[in-house]
Amino acid sequence: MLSLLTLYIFHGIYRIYNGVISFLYTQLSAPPKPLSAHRELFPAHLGIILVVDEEIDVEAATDTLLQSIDNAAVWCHEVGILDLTVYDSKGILMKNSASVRKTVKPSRNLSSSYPLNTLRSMRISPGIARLRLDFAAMRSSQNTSWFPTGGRKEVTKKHHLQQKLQAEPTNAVVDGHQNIGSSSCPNPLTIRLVSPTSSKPAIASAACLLARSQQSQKVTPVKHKFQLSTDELDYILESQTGVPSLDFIVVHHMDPPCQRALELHGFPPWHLAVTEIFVTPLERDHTWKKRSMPATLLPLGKQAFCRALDEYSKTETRNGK
Amino acid sequence: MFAFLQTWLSWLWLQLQNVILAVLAAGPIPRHIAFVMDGNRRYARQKGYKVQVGHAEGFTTLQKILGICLKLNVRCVSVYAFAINNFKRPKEEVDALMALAEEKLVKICEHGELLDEYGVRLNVLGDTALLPAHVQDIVTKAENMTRQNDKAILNIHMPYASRHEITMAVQAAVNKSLDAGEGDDPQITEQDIEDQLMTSRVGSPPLDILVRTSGVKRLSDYLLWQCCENTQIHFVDTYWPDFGLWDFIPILLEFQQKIWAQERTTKKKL
Repeated sequence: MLSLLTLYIFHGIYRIYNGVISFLYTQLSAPPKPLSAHRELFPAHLGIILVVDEEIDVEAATDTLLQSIDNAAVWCHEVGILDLTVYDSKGILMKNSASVRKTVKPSRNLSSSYPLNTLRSMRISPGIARLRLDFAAMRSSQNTSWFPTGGRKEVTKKHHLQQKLQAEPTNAVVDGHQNIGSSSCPNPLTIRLVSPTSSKPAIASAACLLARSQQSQKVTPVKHKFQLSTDELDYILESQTGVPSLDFIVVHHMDPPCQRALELHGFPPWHLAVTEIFVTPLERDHTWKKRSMPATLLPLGKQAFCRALDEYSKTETRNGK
Repeated sequence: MFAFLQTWLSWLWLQLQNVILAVLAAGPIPRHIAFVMDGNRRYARQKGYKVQVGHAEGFTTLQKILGICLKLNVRCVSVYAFAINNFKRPKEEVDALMALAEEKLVKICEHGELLDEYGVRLNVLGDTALLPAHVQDIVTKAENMTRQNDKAILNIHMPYASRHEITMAVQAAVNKSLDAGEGDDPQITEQDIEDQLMTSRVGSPPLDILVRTSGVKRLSDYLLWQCCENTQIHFVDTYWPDFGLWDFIPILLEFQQKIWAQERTTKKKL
């Protein structure tokens, strides 16, 4: 009993300490660099996890989610990030993909010489919707293709794997390939909406596909044990889901408390192998909003986005070395 | 006089730590904690030591943290000792790491009581076929020595990559489905794949906390499947050889607050 009481005191002191640190951070931390500032490094593929707590009203959450994705699309376009994947643990964005299509719009500062073409929407697999926003990048940047198109090695790997699967390429792959080919815009922004069904269930689906394929290749008289390499599974998952590995992921709580440990809320694990991770802090302007209207949900803010980009620009990849 | 004072202060510090651990143990305790022991080399460079010294001090820290986890009754501890990618490091460093691993595993075999005291079962998980033959032999010996222990689990991941683990799990699940004759309608679920993961096969409980030291904020292909749901992830700025109880306390307090919040939510729904 005494130990438990002492533990509650520890927790009380810890909460006060966190509250003070959080307050000092919001008041004293230097602002991030502006969005248009020069940064050494930008992620080619950015992910955002929008955390929707259990207690949050779904309708209010939907509006905040839509605002967050709209904000992120505009800012990604401004800095030349061409690949954006957005995830929420309840799949709200997936269910409202039509609303996302209507909501996401180009930057108001976009010059008339870079017109917005028609939004194209395509379902790739359960749990993923991909919106292609064909508006030109304001600065040149690398065209990120999620489907391997280059080089003999890639073509050979694809052909070998298709033979192994003994399946037609999925509609998603064919559509995606056609979609890239048919795009009139050189540097389109791709936004993927991802839900929990594209996480571990996608890996299970890939396993079923492989088992089905193996079954159809009956080898007699000796049954060979099925073998799979990491590269092959990587290829299947990226082809099936249309989601390549992420360079950087930003975790944003729409109802932030003072201190909460990072969690990934069921985000597809395969794609996070070498991903830099950032949790948005409570910014000064958000602190004021939360104090004046405690029930307010906070969309992804520009300051937090810029701070995330600042963090990413300082990272160093070692690849095991 | 000075030596006496030092001894007395060390004793006092140890007693204080034990009191703190006893207080922490009054609340919810994580079942499974994983550590990415990062920062040994940067620690060594900062102190002007050779890299091998940094790794050796990192092992001392590992022993210390293991002792803390065992006193708290943490059921399972996993540590990322060596990544498959780490074979790209200079040969001298890789050889030194293999020698360190062999030396420590030999120590475990010769002084088996170190793990027997706490009933710890040792598992070395990863693509162990990549290890030098003499290291593989000592790994097998150390695992066999502790196989009968069942109070706690220590997983040493070396050489390991999570994507490799997931691939092997998918491979095993597919072969199991084929052997079961599921025919053209295989029913492989997430649970089937989870059951084939290396950590699951040695009886590890779900992962509650993952800690990475040295300020790097990525998972580096470690326990991706296990940590993407219901796992608190902590990126700590301290280099691994400097990691201690004071870095660990906030991590445990965060976990306890999460569990209590979940219990309150469950009670409200009822």
